[in-house]
Amino acid sequence: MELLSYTFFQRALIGGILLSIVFSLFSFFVVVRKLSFAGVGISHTAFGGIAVGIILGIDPSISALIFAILIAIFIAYTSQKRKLHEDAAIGIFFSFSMALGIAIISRFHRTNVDIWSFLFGNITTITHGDLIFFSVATAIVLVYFIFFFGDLVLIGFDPEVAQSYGINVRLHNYVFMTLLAMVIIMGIKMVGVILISAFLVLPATIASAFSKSFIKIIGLSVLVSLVFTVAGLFLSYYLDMPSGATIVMTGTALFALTYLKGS
Amino acid sequence: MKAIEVKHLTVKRNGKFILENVNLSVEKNQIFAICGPNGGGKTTLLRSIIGIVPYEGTIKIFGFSPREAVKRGLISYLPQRSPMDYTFPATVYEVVMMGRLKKMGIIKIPSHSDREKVLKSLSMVAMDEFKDRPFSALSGGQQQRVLIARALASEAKVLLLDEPITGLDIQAQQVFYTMLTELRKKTDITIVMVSHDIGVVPAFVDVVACLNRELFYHGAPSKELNIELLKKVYGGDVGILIHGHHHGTT
Repeated sequence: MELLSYTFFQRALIGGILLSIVFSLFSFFVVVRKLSFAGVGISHTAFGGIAVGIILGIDPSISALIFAILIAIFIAYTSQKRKLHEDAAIGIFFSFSMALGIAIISRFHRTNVDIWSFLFGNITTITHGDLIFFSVATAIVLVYFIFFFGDLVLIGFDPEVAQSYGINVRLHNYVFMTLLAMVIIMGIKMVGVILISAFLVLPATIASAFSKSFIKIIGLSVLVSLVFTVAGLFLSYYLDMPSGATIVMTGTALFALTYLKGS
Repeated sequence: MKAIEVKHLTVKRNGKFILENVNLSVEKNQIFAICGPNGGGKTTLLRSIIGIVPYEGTIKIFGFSPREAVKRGLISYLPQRSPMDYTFPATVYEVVMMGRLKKMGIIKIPSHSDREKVLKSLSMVAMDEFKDRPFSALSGGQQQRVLIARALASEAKVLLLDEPITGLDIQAQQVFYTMLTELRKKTDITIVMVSHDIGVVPAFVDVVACLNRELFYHGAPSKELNIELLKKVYGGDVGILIHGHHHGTT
């Protein structure tokens, strides 16, 4: 286990564990509220933000975060106003943002920029600063879920009754989407823009095969997410494959096993 | 004190009257049915009572405004079947526990008393044996009973039910009505129920109100509620069955 003595791997492991915890909490709500496409939209939109950050010479994570939060708020807004179909709005904006990113990077010939890392993740790029951001983001998410878990469940199950209980459903939608954008930016470092949606969908989908109780599903999601992330990280090292892709493939294999066993 | 008192209630949407000068009152422990055609403003009336629709006029629930009544947990609202996610992964017990949300502390962890109230509510609707079953696997009638149990668990004083028997077969409807009658006997709960189909108003209802933008009738489901009045409310042919007597069709 000399691997554990490498600083980059220690950071990846800590980052992976924090990611697993927050993503599995979101995963349940993303799956039951059918927000998977919103997750894809947010992560892809972040790519435009990354490109803008690179050109402006600011930390791409910050510009990506701003882009992601803006699209997340926009998604929450369109879903409430119903002027434009949510899926159509996401489809338009994420394609635009990806196109913007590609155009900017090509136009300014920034060949020194490792686009590959942003698209598919690179654990060796996780810095000490990133870990601090991950920890703060995880703490914010945990506090939110500890205080508002019940409200979120009721909103997912029965939004009209949630409203009749005096729960501010609209505000919760905005906060939820903003926090989702924040954790997606966390995840991009690890698995990249393209693969991050697997982190959002796999944990709860796998866990749902074992229970119909949301408490158990969320508990199992955390476990499932930890298992495939940590296993994927180790496998990526020993098989000499990219970490993001290996983690996602490990998770997908777990999903396939679960559903093959069930059918 | 009246359970619900509505005075001069008017609701407009895009300049159009949805409800116009509606006045009605519901006594404590009454079963009150609101009938009328689709689009007649019945759901809007319920949504006004829980304060999620802007309105003109006065609404009081045990003397409190809708907002205050919601805050105090006096009302429990069961919407029509459509907006809810019936495939949501939750056990029957978990669904009923949602009714305790407002009674829990800042960190929503169920106490011993919360758990007891959930079990008691389930037994009141005869669903205690199903507590560990997935909610999504129940029949429509059973799901409605579980949702009533959730309302009971919230310890609300007024239950607002919007088209509660939609999609239930005749037998399930009977079970549902019997359960409501039992509930009224065992507790001091007030039940307000909305239905577009006047044929479903059975013998146990104390008061019926006929609503089509305005209130056309407000009283016991008896002789005054005649075919002429119903034609006025529904604006066409009506086939009715009230108190087991067929009043005929035109």
